[in-house]
Amino acid sequence: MSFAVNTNDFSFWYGNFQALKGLTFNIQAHNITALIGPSGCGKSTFLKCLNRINERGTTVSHEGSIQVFGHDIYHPTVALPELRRQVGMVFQKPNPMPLTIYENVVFGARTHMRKVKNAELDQMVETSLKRVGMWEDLKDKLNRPATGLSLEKQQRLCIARLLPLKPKLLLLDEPCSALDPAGIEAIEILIRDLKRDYSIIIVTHSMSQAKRVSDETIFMYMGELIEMSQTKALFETPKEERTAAYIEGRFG
Amino acid sequence: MFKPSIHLLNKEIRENNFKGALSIMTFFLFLPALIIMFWLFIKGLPVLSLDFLLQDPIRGMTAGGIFPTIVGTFWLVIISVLVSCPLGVLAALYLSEYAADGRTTRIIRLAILNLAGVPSIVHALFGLGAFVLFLRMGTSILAASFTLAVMNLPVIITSTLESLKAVPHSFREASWNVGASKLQTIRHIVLPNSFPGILTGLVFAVGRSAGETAAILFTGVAFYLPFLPQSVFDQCMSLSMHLFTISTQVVGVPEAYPYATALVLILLILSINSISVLLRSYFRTRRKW
Repeated sequence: MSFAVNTNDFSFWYGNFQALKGLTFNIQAHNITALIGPSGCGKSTFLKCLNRINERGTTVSHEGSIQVFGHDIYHPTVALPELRRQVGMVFQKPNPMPLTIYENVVFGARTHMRKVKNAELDQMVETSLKRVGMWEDLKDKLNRPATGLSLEKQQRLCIARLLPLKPKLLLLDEPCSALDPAGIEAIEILIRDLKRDYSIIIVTHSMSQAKRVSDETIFMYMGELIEMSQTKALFETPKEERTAAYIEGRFG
Repeated sequence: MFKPSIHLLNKEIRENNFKGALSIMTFFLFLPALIIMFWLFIKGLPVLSLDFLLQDPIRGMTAGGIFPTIVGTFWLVIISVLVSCPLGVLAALYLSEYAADGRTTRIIRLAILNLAGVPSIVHALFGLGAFVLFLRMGTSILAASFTLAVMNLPVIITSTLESLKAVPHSFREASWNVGASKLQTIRHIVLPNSFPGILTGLVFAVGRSAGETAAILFTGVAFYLPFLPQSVFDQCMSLSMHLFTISTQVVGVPEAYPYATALVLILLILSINSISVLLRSYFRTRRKW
């Protein structure tokens, strides 16, 4: 079995504050893994470590290692743009760029390739939008500003714009928290469908969402890994008292 | 049911009084501008003509026009803008997009704020020492323009920083997240979205330097020159300086002359500022978010 992520005794600090404490676990490839836990437990921090998007403007430090598909992402030779190309992130609040729908989808490809033919770009837009189920809807509106779309469609677009980069791992940071119930359902269906091609890690506050979409679930508390197992097992027969307390809503 | 209590009535009276006081204040703010413009038009309009704009001053500046001063102001403004715009915008980009938020950055920001508070006469003395004497530019258009540029830098940097800050951080994050470099992010995301604001700041700086007098006093502007400047190493006349001269230093100037000169200067600055307002509203309609 191949692993998407291996962490080995990984700790992480923002300045003097230790956000993650000695995490050791493996996340399987082509799985959907959910990260749950109360606010401030470090689940978002861990997600952001995976493409190192949290290193700007603040002093951060780490110990231990994280491997993504067997490669140490904190190795000095790692190029951050390349890491971020292969490990894409979708944020809590949909953040399409202030460009047209078309330009949003091809933005990443443009920044990574020296010269791309227009036909290739057109192809990328069509494939990516089809993959997130919006091509029929948007094929005649590609030159409209992306910020005019509904929140759910913006979030789909934010997923679509990662796809031309051929990422291996998708990180979703509470991707549904800004959406209404219909939007949530639509995005969840999309996430389960994307599992065929990508490994996915999703941070969520909603336990029902973790139950619905994920294969494995990790429960974190105060920067530590408390429990990790098959989603069904974790929710039905939690081994740790704190896990049980959290999923029953007794704290957090 | 639903009748206002005494307490509520009092509250409403206080609310109305406050609103009234604010609107009176705002009106008083507006009044001087109105009176100045009105007065200048009344007093200066009789002299204002194409001849006044296009002729040289004659008979010891007591007759003729103001053409060389317009030329001088034009050169001073253009050259100072060419120097201060790239410097200011690039410095602001560095501070906003690259510099880590540490102690050094804070000190630099503080220094810029302080520079903005330096009186223009002190800038003039600095320009005299640094550009005229030390860099051996002599009293020239170049030295005066550089002095104006130094004076405008903090204004440009501050306004550019504000415009850059107005671009939501999430746009940058989105761009980095697909692996764009900082330069790519600046070029494709940050600059296009902050451009209108930056431009507005620049144009306002231009307007300010067109009216500046003290900073160019010792560095490159003459009371009177019988010829137009031939190169940037010559001295020139300027509208603002000319206004000062014919108002206070020359005997026998007709009363309408200073008013007309002031009117030209103010109309020039007003038109520059309205360009900036127009540009801003034009770009705002084109904004995509």
